[in-house]
Amino acid sequence: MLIAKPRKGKPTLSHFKPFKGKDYVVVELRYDSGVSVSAAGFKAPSAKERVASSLNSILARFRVTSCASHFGLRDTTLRARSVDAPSTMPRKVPPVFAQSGVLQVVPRRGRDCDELARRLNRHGSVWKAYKAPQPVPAAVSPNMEPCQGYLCSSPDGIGAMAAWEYWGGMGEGVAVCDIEGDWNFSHEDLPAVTHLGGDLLGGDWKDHGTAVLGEIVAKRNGYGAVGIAPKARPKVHSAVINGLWNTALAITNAAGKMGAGDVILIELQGSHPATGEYVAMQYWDDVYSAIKAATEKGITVVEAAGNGDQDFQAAVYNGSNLQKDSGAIVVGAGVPPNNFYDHTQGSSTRYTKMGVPRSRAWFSNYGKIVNVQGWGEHVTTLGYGDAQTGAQNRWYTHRFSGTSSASPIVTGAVACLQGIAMYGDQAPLEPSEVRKILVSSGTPQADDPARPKTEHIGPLPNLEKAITKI
Amino acid sequence: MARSRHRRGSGRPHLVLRLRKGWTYDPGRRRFTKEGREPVRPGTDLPKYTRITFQVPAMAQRRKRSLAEDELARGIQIVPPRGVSPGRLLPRVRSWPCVEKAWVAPAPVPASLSRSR
Repeated sequence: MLIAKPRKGKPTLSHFKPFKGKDYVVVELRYDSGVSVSAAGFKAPSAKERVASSLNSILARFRVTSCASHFGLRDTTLRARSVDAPSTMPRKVPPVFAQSGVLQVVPRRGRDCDELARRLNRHGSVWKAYKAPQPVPAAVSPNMEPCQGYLCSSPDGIGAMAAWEYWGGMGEGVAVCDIEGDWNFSHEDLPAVTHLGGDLLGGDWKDHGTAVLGEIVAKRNGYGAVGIAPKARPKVHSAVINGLWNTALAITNAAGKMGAGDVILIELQGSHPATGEYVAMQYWDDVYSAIKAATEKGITVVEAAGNGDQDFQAAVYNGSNLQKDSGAIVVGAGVPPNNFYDHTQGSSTRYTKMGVPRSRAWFSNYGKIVNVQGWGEHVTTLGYGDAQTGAQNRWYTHRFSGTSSASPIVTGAVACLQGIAMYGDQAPLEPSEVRKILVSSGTPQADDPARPKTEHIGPLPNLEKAITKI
Repeated sequence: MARSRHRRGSGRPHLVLRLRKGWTYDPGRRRFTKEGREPVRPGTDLPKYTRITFQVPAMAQRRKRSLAEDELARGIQIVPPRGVSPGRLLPRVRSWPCVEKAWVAPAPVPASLSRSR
């Protein structure tokens, strides 16, 4: 049952939303025109009355609603202009005299501005007339949306732009909670984020959390990045509570403040006690139970598989939770379409090939419980500052990576899907349904000579197809 | 293998244990109890000032629980005083009759690769 309706128009890049003031024309009169302005239109002494009336006839044609000094000068100052009009250009023009000749003319219909300006420019008493610009902030960050290939259609991206065409497809009505260590709540491109609890750890955690949120909910405002589900409600919970790592409690607390259809993202990995390699957090029993309890409530839990290059089917993991279904969507890291890895050491950079796009990234954990993949490298988002430095609130990166960059891509996809499913007070999808849809509709994992697809990380979500399965 | 540069140890090292079914923790008397069984008093096995708390306190108080919630309710944190490695306490804690499983709590890191700016 497809309950969502496509929005009108084609997908477009986001645009900066400026303050929309009324359009008007700025008119600069010649110094010797001998006319002045009042709210009713142009005025002039009897000698110049014909000039004023011909200007007024132009205004009348465009049903001008107001006519005033552009510099807000008083009527007496403006009247003096018509009396003092010199016959030759004065050597030194007093500032008030110069300003008194600059007028603001507002036609009833903004679209008439260009034509009005053209007519006025043809008048002998007008030095220059032009439509007033609608400025935007000069110090705006560049639009990085074109670098966010993961937003694009399959096979390169997840088709987020297509999902935005559906009601609810921007994650409307869906809360997303990121569980890790810290975030830059003041970043220019983040909406208001609710901190549900836990201790903020500072340091590099801040960049990490900001990058994760950016992929999911960065504002769609024409500058910086844009999130996959920019209208989802962002929440965060630190996994450190009262000075102790307690991911299970963080998940439980977050789940307690969320409802069916919402999404929890676990952006952490831990060192396996025997191998020392990074594994998914569900390895630990308390986290596994917390994920199960959250999914039982109808909350979809998305979990990073971890960057340990580990096969979860290996004998060392037999009997562990890495071979059991917690109900979470476990996310591996896939090779992005721009297929290189840059090893930057100070000022020198060398590149190596990462492998076939959508094959397993060299560091990603893999196995039966890994359901889907996201980009594991070259993810453009907020934070870190390699793409734009300056004030920390305006930092961006082109290089967010790991199963950390992959998991928010899937989280965003889940928020889009649930937003569409819930649009119009419909019931959300069950977490198991969401997972099933993403897996069955995704763009398949690719084979790479070095990392065959038997090293399972699953497909890259494809929202265009997934939406048809709701 | 690229290691994360994120700080470890932002959280204090501690143990997590899961109680066997039927057992619970009595914080007032600082002991583990089960009907018809001798209580387990951890006092002598643990260094002074060791803190024992429920891992998910709200879950421990809830009466109606799902299977997963019941497992969470049986989670206990044992936080030794500073300077005492929780790993040292693990064998003793595992030997208590009320303990189903015990482990050193992981100190997770974010799942991103180490990159320089």
